[in-house]
Amino acid sequence: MTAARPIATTPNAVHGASDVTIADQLERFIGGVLGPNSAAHVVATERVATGRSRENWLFELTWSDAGGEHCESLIARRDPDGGLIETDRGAEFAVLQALEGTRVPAPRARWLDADGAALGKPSLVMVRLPGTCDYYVINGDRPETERVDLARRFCELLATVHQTDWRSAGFDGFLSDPGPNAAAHELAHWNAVLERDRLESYPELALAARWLGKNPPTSPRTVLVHADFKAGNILLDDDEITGLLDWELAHLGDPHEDLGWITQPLRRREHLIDNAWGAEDLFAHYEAVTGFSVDRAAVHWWNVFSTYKTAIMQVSGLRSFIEGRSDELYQPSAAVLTNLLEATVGQ
Amino acid sequence: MRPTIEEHLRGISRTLDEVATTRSIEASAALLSDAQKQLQRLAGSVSIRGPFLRWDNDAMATLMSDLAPRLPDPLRQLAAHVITADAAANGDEHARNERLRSLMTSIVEALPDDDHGDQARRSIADHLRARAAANPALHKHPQRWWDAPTTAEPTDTPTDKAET
Repeated sequence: MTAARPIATTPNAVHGASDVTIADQLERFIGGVLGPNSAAHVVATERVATGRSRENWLFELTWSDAGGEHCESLIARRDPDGGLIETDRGAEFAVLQALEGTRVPAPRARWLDADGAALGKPSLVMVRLPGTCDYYVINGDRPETERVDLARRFCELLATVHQTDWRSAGFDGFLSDPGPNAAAHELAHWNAVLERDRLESYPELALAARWLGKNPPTSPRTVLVHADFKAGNILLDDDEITGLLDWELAHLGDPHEDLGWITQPLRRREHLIDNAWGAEDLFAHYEAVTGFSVDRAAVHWWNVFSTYKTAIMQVSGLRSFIEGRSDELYQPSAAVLTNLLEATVGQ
Repeated sequence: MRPTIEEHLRGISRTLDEVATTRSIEASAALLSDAQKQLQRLAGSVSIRGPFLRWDNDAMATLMSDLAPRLPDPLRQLAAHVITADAAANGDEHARNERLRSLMTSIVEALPDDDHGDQARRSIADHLRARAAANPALHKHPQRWWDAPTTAEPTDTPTDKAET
């Protein structure tokens, strides 16, 4: 029997769908894929609150085949009724499958219920990796030298993502390459999300959209962009990085996008350490590891874009709340709006 | 200004409905804690919501009256209509707020890329920063509406600069 791996994430008390129901659904779904003689059995189903955009269910699967009996720790990620973002489970599944042939540590995708026919909503099942995620580990309780070392390794992980040979790995089979116009492409995408989801007018966002539209940088090269790179999505097992999670926003684009995301002022506590690991340290290390030069002006544009994107995600979250698809109330926050105004119009 | 009080209360009610169907004591406690925080947030903002909206509306109307002469014609007429009609109607401050913010959005998109346009955008941004600081829906302890910095004075607007 294959040994079950340790629980991957720290479970929190959560609410919502019945774990009995989901266990039955998972067992029928996986049993259907493995076949009637597999004796597939789902046990210890537990919902965890990690990841704001998905329902995450941890469970153990036992089954048998010609090789004997097996047990595996898995996680099912199911679309919620609503939330901050709406993404395609099939695309995330394809990204995870393509990552299997690369150096990027990511969960192995097992099964996809693309239309939710078996599990109620579009879902994917992945292998659970050991470790826990801690949003603020970079500024947590560890000694500063350890935290700087960790920040350096997070930077190297991002470099590994960007150095992925996406053509060889087949990413261009399901993701489009925006080429040098990656910034304008992403801006157009998020402008469309804003128009789709807004329930009221946001002159603050109009000011930001105008500024962004006038200054989009040209992408120097196309890379695989994670688009939500943060310690909160990096699994750490003691000191070892065991996985990079949440690939639902991944796309092909400008490497400065991820660099802008992680150095935006509102997220600096997650990535930078005052007086020990600043943005310039991060850029210098990234340049040394990748051999790519970092265009600081482009990073600034992506900093502003990242805050704009955050505001739009909050607009989408507000719509979900008002339409009864989400219980958590989001709305563009004072910090996000003020930050955008200062960046795009000045003090 | 969304969510409205009714929309916010409906959200809290949904959370409480979930408590009734949740078996786990731990999960119920988390839900009740969420509902309590939401109610505290709402209770803290409901009494100053009206005064905040009136302050925001009056400041926007003054600011956009100052900007209107510099706007392209269809937008100038729209601005005049929205501002004068709203002032005369003395109606629902919430609906007036959305009309004025929609107008402000259109103005932002139409302002020219010159010094006057830049100055107008700065005046608008000054007000929006003050609004973000005073908005009771965004802060546990908001800057009270009557303490918010006044929006751009008439002498700071492009119109008045041009006239001096």
